[in-house]
Amino acid sequence: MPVETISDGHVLAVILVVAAVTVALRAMPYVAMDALSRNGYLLHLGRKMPVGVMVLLVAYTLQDVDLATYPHGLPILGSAAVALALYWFTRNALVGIGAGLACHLVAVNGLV
Amino acid sequence: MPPEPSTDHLHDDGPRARFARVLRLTVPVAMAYLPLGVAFGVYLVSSGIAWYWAPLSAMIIFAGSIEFLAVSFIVAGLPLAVVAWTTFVVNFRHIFYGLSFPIGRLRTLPQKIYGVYALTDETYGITAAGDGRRLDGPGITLLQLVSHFWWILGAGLGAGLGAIIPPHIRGFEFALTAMFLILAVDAVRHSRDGRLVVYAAAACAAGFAAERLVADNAFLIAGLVVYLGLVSADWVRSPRVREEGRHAG
Repeated sequence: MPVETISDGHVLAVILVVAAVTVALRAMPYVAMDALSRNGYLLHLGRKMPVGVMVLLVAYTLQDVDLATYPHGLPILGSAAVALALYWFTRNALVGIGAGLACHLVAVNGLV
Repeated sequence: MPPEPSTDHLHDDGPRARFARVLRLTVPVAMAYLPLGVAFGVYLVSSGIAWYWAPLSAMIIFAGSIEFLAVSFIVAGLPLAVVAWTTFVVNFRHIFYGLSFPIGRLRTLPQKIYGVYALTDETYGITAAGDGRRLDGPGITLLQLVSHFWWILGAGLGAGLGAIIPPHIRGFEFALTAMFLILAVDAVRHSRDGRLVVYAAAACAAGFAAERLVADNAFLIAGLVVYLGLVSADWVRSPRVREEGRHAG
């Protein structure tokens, strides 16, 4: 990981781009309220996109996991299973994230 | 325009009582934003980015998951056009929050601009339900400012914590995986449409293939395009889906 080479300019540029797009999306309804609320296709996308987006983002964070060599991705996959199970049963996001992160930190730094 | 709930009783008491009332409304926001902000700050610092970008990013962006993602974009060195497009698709759902945010209660132009700027899931949720529905314009602005403050404070605390954690301790990037996992569970629960999970799996496979065979950093773009295509094909194919679209929302 290129830890030492991240320049302030690059960080600022990414932050500004993300902020600009996020604010533009938030402002969209006030610019085109009628068109949006009447466009069935956009409403369809608004309802159907989150599942794919979130599953893809989970996979995105897992794509560099190396299953072939030791520890075969077990720390991250096991911690993900813990986070998933705890969130499923408690419905408390902080419990799921906190316990999963704790498992991962212990597994990565202590066990492997 | 539906009739607005009465805001009269909020005008009766002084600014201190108003502030106390808004502060109480933001308690659940603080309980979510502070720990998440701390996780964000620690993750940012452990990714090799200078600590002061945690509070600065929290101030400039004021959004949750996309802000974590921005850190991974920075570390991966993604081109800005890819950053913009990915942000657009990931945050597309936010378009529909604005449709019922009570911007009519915000009187001045700066209030309106900040109102839209700081329109997060949580501030939207509070103005749309319970006591928050009775907030007047200044009350909403105050609610958003206090929520924004919790988020910046959390990120700042996380950055400080990240700076004192020894650098050989690894593994904080898991916060990102866990957060998206939880958002995915919520999305699947709300959708009640099993096909979407199959589509998502196909999109992931396409993303992996594109990353390995086509180009570095192609994963998200390829996956999102495939998923968008599958969901759009449903729309084109089925008149029943189109009917649902017209009546829902």
